[in-house]
Amino acid sequence: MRKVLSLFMVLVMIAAFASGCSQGNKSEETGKGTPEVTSAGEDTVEASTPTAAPAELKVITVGYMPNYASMCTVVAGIQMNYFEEQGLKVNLVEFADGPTIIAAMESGAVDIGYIGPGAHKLCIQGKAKIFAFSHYGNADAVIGSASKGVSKIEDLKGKKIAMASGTTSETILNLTLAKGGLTKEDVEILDMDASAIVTAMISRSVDACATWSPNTNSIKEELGSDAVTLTTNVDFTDISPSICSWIANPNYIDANADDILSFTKALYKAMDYRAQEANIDQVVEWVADQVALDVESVAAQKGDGDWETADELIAMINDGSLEKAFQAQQDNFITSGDVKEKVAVSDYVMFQNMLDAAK
Amino acid sequence: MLIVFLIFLVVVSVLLLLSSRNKETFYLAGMCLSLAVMLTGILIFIAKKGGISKELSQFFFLSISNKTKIQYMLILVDQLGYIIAIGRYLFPVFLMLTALNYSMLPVIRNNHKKSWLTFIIPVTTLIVYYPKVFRMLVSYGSKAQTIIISITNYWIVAYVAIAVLLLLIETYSISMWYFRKRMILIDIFIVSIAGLYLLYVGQDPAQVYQFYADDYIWKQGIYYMRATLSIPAYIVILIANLICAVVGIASVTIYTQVNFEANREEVIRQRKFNTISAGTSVFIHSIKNQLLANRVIYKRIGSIYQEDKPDMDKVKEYTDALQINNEFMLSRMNDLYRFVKTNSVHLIPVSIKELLESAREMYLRKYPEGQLEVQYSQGTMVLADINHLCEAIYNLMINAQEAINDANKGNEGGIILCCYNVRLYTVIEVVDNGIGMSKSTLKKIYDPFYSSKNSNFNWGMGLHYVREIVKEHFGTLRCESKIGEGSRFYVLLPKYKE
Repeated sequence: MRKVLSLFMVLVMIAAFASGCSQGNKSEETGKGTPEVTSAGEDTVEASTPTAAPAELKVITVGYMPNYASMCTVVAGIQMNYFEEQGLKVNLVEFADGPTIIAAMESGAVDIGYIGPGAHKLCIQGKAKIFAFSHYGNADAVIGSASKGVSKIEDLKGKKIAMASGTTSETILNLTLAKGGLTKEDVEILDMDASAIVTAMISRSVDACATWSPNTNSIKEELGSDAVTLTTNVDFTDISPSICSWIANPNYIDANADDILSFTKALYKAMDYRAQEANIDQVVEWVADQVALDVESVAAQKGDGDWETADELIAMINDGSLEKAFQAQQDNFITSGDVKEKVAVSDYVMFQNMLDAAK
Repeated sequence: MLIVFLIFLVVVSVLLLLSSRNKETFYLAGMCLSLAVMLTGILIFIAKKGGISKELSQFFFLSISNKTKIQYMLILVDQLGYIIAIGRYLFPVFLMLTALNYSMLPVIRNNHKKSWLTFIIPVTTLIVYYPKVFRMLVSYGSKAQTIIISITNYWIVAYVAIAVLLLLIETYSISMWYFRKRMILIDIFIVSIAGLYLLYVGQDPAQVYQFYADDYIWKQGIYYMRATLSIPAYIVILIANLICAVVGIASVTIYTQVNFEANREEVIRQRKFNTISAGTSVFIHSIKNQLLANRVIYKRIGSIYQEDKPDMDKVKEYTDALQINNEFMLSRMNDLYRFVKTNSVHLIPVSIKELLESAREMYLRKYPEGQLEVQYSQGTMVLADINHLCEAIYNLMINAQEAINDANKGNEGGIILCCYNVRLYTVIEVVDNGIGMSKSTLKKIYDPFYSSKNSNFNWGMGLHYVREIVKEHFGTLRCESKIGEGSRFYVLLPKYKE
């Protein structure tokens, strides 16, 4: 029996090594050490272009968050084969928030990612570069519980507020507290992840929360009239534009500039597709399929941003309004203390890439 | 799958604690539990942060719905981070304590009572890593965080490395194969779960509640989200871990059997009492039979004397039979008396040479033609009552010779009596190539009044007596045997230091 057990263990170890080796070979084939992640989009690409040789496509791993704003563009690009046209094959990996995507980029697990406004401070700090603009969002909110005595911003004083530090949640909470003449010292902050915020609010473990869509929708749906929206991004457009962007690690960009350009070109086509009223329902379906949610709940998020087209984006770059928006966003981070030193917007936003992609 | 492994770790810990309450099992259970705590924290963190494929999610959590439930669990990042910290910093302590407990290096044995010192660094780290304390300390600058994290990583690596080194030294130092093979199994178990610990130890708790607030930990990234190992690789590694764990725990159980038996003494006392009661009945019955037989002989002698011409040859025959019966009864009485008297042994330093040569002399007196090889190193001393211990070893040798006779080995049959030192023990070994014993027989051989032979000369007190004598010498008696190959008895006595 012991001999059999020993033999089995040896076989197991050999299998482990062999498996590890085969994984290594797979990575070499794709040209980098990214994981093999399948996605609904990937399946569709292969189904719609049976003649395409997968080996010719460069695999790009993209980190996203499970919401419409994060996914509408990239899913449209996958489904419409815009990425494939550029010689790219997109694998999607789900993350809870932007900072985690940037952290995963640091370890090489993700090549490209989507971030909301809050994670932009990490780009300013040099952790990642913005190679494409996604949209202006309006889905972040601070929500209070009326039954807990929070119906206006001033009511937050002394209350328990759920927040996810380092994310958009923290950004909008800071703005909201400042608007109400409060500081973090005036309230009790409970730092938790984005998902736990929903549970905390629904279970009435906290008095208020700062979060983003679709969490905001879930909370409002569960709490009904008890949920009072205190602020949204729209309230702070002037002092902190709610910019959402496509980012990559600076080292990755240096080594793969052509791929970044190709990805941006595909994004532009997808931006145009998603912006057309006639296509929105289709995009909603694709997103619902990817995140395994019902179409109605995804459809409720389709108004979570201003869905600019590529032409509108180029116009915003040319008239300088986009750079101003990024500058305002940075100024707000400096005011809140999240960013210590001012840096040139062009250091972390690749306007030239955006312009080149439009050519 | 990882969830299953977590449950397995917890179950193993509980079973270890239930099976035997000694230091070894306590430390091993501590290792399992602390690893389970750390992995639980990390699994929750992974569920909440995402970054893994659906396939890996299923691997980690068994199902996506499990992952979703964990993802929405209400827990503060401070609490989650500290759960990871507790597991992360207690595992190396239990690993180190396990290694120290097994180690027989003189410097460690002499300072065994100071093993609590191993707690100082981990407990200090746990205080430092308490979220409020940690934030207060790092508020003095990002360098403070870097220093804390670096020092922590260094001591973790040092603890694990030293512990593994000690275990390897110990394994290498054990010359007695019986113990070494069990030590190797324990090593496999420990190394396997230490490997799993190292796979996830890169997750600094500060990353959870100070999410990438410092460049140093930022560089580490969240490596397990990279999924560097394919799912099949993860599965085979976990299967290997499960096998190692099962094999290791089995070996721990066997390895600690010596202590375990002592702990079970209370439980088996009743069984012993019953056995002794039965044995006493057997003894009385046997003596009664002898006396009844004698009565018959007396009657016959009486009837001879009633004859006109008594047959004196017959009388002589009957009186001889009476004498033999009398000797048997006396012998049994002596054995019983000897067993009763074993509580009074007088331990003095005795040379192994004197002990073994006396035993050899006794053996050769009974079996002048016996094939006996005696090996020992000059100068070895043990604390012993030479009469009792010599008698015990003689008993083992007699048993060995009887086993050889039963196997009809002829000139090929032989006994080896040897003595050597192993770590804390002086081992006296009696080896024969006789008939051997089955596993079921091995379990009973120490029971009083147990005998595999049914004769007037064997009534089952020999090995029980030997065992009692060895126990009186603060030693242990162990046996390995295979049917057809022979038996090997080990008398493990505490090593004597002058």
